[in-house]
Amino acid sequence: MEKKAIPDHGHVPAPQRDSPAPPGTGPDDALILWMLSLTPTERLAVAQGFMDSTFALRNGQRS
Amino acid sequence: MDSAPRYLEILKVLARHQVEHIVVGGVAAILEGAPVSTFDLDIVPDPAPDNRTRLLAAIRELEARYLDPAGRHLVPDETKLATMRIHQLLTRAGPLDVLSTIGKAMTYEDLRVRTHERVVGDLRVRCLNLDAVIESKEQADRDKDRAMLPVLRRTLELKNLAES
Repeated sequence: MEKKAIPDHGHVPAPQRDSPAPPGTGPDDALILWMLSLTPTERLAVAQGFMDSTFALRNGQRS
Repeated sequence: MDSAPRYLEILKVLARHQVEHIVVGGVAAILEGAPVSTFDLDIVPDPAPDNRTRLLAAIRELEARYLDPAGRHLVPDETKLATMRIHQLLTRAGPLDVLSTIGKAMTYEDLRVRTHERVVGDLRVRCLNLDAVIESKEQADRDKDRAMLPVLRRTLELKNLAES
């Protein structure tokens, strides 16, 4: 399998705790602001990491 | 589908074959900063015949076949690419939707002016602007599009605030 050219999603900085709190309903501003703080490469890595984790769970593997 | 889609692998193959295309849909929204998830990579290719030939070479390298409920092994060819509007493909790197239009018949030419290049790894990816992604999903008006819209709209609001 081809080696990943994008950073592992573990290298993406975590959302800051002092980001605006999410409202009671609707989209989570803190999550959106965190994604906006990333580069496109990192954003794709986050999405890829989510998919990898989802499939690992589905297949009963450790991620 | 037994393994996770590998968006970057598909984008790399398209780039290697110099396929002119626009990334639309969920992956475009992600590249624009929206925290959404999607299984499919959706693209709208330049419909020019020479580009269609390059696209066919790329999707053959990706071992693409049509998602077929009957389980038949149907593969894309020049005629299908030239005549069909929607190609829901399964490649060795995951699902790839090749679309001639999105929303209410927005074509490559319509969309081209609403894109910009994003650097993704060592690639330059032409990506639909977030406002156009939102518009296309409003026009498509499927359940999955409506479900994604609040996050996309809020992302655009916060993005515009940050840039003002």
